[in-house]
Amino acid sequence: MTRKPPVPAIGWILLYLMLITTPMIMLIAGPMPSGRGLWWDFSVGLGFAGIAMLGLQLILTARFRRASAPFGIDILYYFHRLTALIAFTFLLGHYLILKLSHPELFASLNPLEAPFRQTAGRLALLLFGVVIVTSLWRKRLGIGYDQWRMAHATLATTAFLAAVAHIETAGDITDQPLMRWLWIGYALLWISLIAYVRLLKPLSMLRHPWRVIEVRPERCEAWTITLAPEGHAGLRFAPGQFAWLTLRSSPFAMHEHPFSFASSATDASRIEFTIKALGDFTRTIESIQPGETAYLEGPYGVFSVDRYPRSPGFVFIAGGVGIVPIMSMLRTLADRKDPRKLLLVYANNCWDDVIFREELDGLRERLELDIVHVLAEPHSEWKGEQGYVTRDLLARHLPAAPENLEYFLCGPRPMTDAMQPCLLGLGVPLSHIHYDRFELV
Amino acid sequence: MRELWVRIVALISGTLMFLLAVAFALLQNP
Repeated sequence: MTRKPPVPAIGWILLYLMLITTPMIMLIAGPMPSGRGLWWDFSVGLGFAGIAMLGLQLILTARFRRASAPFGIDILYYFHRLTALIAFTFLLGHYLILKLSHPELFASLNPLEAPFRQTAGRLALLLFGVVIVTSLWRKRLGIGYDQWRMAHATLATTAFLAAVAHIETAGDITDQPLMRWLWIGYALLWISLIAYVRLLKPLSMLRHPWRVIEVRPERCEAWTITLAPEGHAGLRFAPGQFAWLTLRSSPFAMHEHPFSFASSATDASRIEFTIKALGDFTRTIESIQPGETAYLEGPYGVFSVDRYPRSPGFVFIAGGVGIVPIMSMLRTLADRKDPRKLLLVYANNCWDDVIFREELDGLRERLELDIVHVLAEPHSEWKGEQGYVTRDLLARHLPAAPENLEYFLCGPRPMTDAMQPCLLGLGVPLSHIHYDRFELV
Repeated sequence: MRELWVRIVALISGTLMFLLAVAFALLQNP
């Protein structure tokens, strides 16, 4: 069972607010030369605000398990994305206000002629812009995930260091020793986080390897890969959580991909992932041989029945391979002989595509489980539900008092997006609807 | 629900930082 996080969500939020506002409060409270005009100082304030927020971006994605536990790591990535957009807007404001109010300050674009502080500032702004554009439109720009990830880290780090160089050489504000050390501290924090993510974490993974013991085909071009710990006790996770999996690569290469656990959480010594061959990496799964080494980093995520021990029952709505984390929850609940009422609404294209079809039938015997299969392209003898999962379909199958149950959605994004208004319309409170937010880039 | 909270916290963070930038400009130029 997942334990209650020792630091509640509000504690981490306040810590974040404290960290981003510290440079601004020091700026306001510290000894300052007299004002150089309202627009000038507003521009400086915006620049500080933007870079103070961007300076903490890496903390959000460094995957600190304790800090992500109350929220779910997926939502921290979403927060990283939103705050990056806000902070970049501030930086853009900083540049544009100065450019419009003091055009005489701007020297040639040529780095050989322009003062260093201006070149550093321009470089930081340009690189942060590239980081944002390549993240928002990665797929449209045709950039592969692994290449994007490497470029994202390199460009963002260069941009941040250029921004710190800009601040340190920009003049009167950083003439204050405290202010100078503050920004050096932020730069050192950033470099320490890179060392943590790129060196310490991979080193820990290297010391806790896993061995592939089986790779078996499932329906619909999916494969189940079974791993056993090698020389360590394994990994305890909550059903529905996920981990980053590295195969045929060193953990230092960062060629890792997030996958939900498929197996029961009651067995930490034998872990399964079921992966559908959809992309470059997932298509290689079928070629993996027993005996190969794998590395795991996790567990992460809050998409789990274990967070709701008092719920009278659960409703799972899955689309295609979205069944995987739900399967982990069902297998775990069956192993625990959980007596609660469960409903699974499982949408697929056709009957042959239904991953885990036979095992789900067997789970009906071990759980208080009703299963509603929904097929988009059913065969001629199909007597079950067909088409898509709609509000009417849910209304036909949900048990009485649906507002008391917890709902877990996993499937293609359009499906999970469409399910939320349906459930809200049926009286389910928003706080009872759970899903992971992946595919941010 | 989590998404809603994240948007609220991001909005609070952005607003707070913007107001601090305004406060700095006003205090420097009374």
